[in-house]
Amino acid sequence: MKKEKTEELFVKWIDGLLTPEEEAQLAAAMESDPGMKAELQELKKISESVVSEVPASVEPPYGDFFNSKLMRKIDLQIQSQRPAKKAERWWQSMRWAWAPVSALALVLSFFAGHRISRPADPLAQKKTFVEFTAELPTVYFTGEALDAEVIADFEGDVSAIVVNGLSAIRDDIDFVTVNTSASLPESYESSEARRFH
Amino acid sequence: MEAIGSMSVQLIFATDGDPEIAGKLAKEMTVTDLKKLQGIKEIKFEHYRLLGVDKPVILKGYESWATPLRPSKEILVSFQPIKRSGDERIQMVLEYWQSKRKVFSTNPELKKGKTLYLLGPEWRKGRMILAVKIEELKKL
Repeated sequence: MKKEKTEELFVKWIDGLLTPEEEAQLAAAMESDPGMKAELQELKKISESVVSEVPASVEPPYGDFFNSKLMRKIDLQIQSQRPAKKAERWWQSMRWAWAPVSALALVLSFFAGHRISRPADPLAQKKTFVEFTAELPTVYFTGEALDAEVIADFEGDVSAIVVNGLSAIRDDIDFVTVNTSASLPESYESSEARRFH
Repeated sequence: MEAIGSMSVQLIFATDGDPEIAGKLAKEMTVTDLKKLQGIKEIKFEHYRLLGVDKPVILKGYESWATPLRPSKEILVSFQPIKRSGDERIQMVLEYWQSKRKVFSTNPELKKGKTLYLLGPEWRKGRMILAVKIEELKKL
């Protein structure tokens, strides 16, 4: 099954909109990849927790707002990687993009709660709310339980991103002499070679 | 390989305690930079010290890296341009790496000449702040 079709089925499954034929197709895909079912269950829980954050009195701009925004985040993530770095099981990249923290950050940014500084400048306020929130960056985390706030300035440009919950750097680390044994991606060496050789 | 601009990535130590704890390599910030930092409530501290800076070129379609603590690779920033929005703006994927491990990434739209601050981890009773600014951007 083509990747785009599977993605479409995922989204419809989460929203409970699969036709019987589509349910059978997705069931067959899950049979061939047992890990997929567990991942999808997790994604559905995240989706439900995101929706539960939406006040009942406020309608999203359009019916597919959250799913389309979350899928856009995934597309950005995939675009930013070179083909060699894409996950073998491509849909596993969704786990990173669908982290509960980033989903909640999207919800919070959508409702512009206390975490986002709304621009006070009348010129900036000519943007619609959807345009403003669509332009806010998203933050992706890799493993740690993290929290992020996006702060915009009076012109509506992002001026700061505050990431809380990161592990502290050891106080005794001397940045001049420390040398972690792990290796960096090939792109780092290529970047350095372009600059200095 | 097309160079479309350049950027600066500063690593700043911010603390409400003694700034000397950052060590001998830490330098005082300029008055202009201090004002910008203290103008944002969420990253306002009593003292700031500049730990290092790197000014890499931005290449269209390529992932590049900034090493603000060169030669140390303890803290790195990778960046890749995604999209231009006019002559003054560019959206990028920025990744923060610590101890050769990717910690988080984000995809902000940056305006030439405007600094984006990323408030990072704690260190020696203070916080690390990355200051990312587009210095030059080729006109479309």
